Amino acid sequence: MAPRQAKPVERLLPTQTLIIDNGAHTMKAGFATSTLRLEDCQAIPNCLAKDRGKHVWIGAQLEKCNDFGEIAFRRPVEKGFLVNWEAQKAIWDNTFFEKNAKLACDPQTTNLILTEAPNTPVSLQTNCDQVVFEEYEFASYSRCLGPSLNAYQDIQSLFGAPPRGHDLAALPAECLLVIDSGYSHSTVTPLFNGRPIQQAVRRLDIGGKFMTNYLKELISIRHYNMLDESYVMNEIKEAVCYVSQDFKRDLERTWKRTSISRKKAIGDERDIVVDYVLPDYNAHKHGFMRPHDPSPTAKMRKMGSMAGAGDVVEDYMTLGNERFTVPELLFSPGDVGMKQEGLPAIALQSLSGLPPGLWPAMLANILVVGGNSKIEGFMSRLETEIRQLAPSECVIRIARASDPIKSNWLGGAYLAADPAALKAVQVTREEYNENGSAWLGKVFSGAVRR
Amino acid sequence: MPQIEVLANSTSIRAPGYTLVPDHGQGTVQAAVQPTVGRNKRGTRFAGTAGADTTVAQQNAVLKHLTDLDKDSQRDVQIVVPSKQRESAGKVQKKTTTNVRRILMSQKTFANHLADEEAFLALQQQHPSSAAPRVPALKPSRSTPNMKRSSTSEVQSTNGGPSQTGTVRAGGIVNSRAKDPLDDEPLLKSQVPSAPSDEVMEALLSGPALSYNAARAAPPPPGKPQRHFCEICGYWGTIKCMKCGARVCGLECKGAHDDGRCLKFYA
Repeated sequence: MAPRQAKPVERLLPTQTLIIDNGAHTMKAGFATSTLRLEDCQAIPNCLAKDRGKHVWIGAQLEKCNDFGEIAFRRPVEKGFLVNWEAQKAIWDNTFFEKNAKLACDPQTTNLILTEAPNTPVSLQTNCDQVVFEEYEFASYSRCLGPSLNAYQDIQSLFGAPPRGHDLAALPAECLLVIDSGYSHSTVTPLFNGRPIQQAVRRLDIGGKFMTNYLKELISIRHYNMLDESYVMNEIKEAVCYVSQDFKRDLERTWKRTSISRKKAIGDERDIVVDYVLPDYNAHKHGFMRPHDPSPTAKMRKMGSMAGAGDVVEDYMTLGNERFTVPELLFSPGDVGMKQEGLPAIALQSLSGLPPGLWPAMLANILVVGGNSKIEGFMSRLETEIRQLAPSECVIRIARASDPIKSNWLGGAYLAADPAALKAVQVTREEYNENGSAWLGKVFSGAVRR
Repeated sequence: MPQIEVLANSTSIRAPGYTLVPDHGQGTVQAAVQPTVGRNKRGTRFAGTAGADTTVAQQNAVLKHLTDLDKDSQRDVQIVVPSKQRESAGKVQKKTTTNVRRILMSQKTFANHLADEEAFLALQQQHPSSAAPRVPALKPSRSTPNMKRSSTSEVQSTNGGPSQTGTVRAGGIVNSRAKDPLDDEPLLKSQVPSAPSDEVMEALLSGPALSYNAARAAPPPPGKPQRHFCEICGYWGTIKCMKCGARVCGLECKGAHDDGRCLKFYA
């Protein structure tokens, strides 16, 4: 092997950059363009799925599936971390590398920006690096924390500032506290100049999957056995759940024996109780939510549909406190016995690992990403609770990304649009071949500077 | 930071006079000093259900419940990658390196990887010389943001505008306006903590990532009571089943619980 020489090799990166935000539920993937549009990003189910007819769907093929009853999933990403490469390779091959793939590309002339969850075990990081360079042979590659990409976006405009000028376009936001509440877990990551402060990253082990399972359990006790219907339950969760602003009051309002007089007193408000009509895959009908109909005819219709008679065949269930006790877990994990604090307190826990001089700037720049932030009422509850916990002198500004699911990806697109910034983070395949995977791990963890 | 939690001891017997209990500050000691006299027999029999503490069995049940809720699917599903897919991939990729073959064949789950990492970290602590040089851990500041609340200064120290972040970069407060005679007034002094120096920031940023377990959020401070809900209808769980310790809200739900869900049928 030739001795390493310090020769300044001019590295030229290909122009095409693929950004993959490899989430447990969906992977957000697309090629970076100069227009920086969210439409360039596709959210592709990151799973292998087997339906009732034993047919196996891979990733994006699931779009064509129209029977989600009892469908089972195999996910390569476990607890937010890319664990099973056999399944992941099948999905990636299907999405990127096969003929007529959705996002077909030649890895040898493509840069790859791949995200990972914070606090990934080193062995998984090494696996990831080796597959990217040795199996797919991407021209260059960088692996970074998903939340940290957000810093490259125009954050201040989310807080109401005018769009930033072109001279500032390449600079990452200086101080940013990213709260990412996704499918597997929720994390809080403080960023300084676009770099994560690793010592202060904190995680709550509750994400969308946990809440779906909880809702599934509640409904299985109260209505039908839904334990095999993860997909349907997820749809129900997304349709009906909301974060209560006053938990005790809402719980009283949904009590089944709420007396009529009390109901009248708060009767002018929208009723919490709703009916959810279950999907009928034989008739290609989707499930939907509608206001609760307490009349006996509705009950009769349901009974009729159960007996197989009657012209209107529908099956519904009445949901009350399930609507808000499920997302409440994010704010009060102790409700199911989990010994962790709620998300707002975790943001403060994360801050306590930072010098106090940074707190005001972090609290004034809180960005929320991840699918759970789309739950109605989530943002205002989070803001209220952080306001209560934070030092009273600090200004709290908290914003949700314009598209919280694709926000990490969009940040990556901003990064890729700036050639100098991109070159600073990417590692080429030649460098990898020369220095090996242990060196690469150190580069990405910041222990080795190039 | 490892979290140390005192598990309830299932063999402990409450004797009148004294008990050994972990001291959490308030509440528990008081309850322990005054054991329920006259209900000893029952207190022993239903050690878990009668007192505020939970037994090992109940804690295990809670942990199992939490792992169940964190599962991807209720049953173990075996979905193999379709063979057509595998063949076509094999044709395109003519050669795989040993590393890649090992990774693709690996059937390790996340739990396996996590155990590996823990073992590695334990080894590192035992033989620090063989391990990679550790970046000196930054001492976490003792004070938490919550404690700052009691600060007497009422001066709005931050202006919160987009210019806010700019002041941090400059390493101090940029004061561009004209000098005011009241600036030195101690009551009006802004209590803004000084921004950390570049060296401190660099040390913070280059710190190694925490391990998976270390990054888990800390438990809430003791003293905050746990909320209990009726396991049937979800309303407040004010009543505890004497047999199994589950919570229900009233007689109607208690009936439903006894019919199907009570765990200790013949207790």
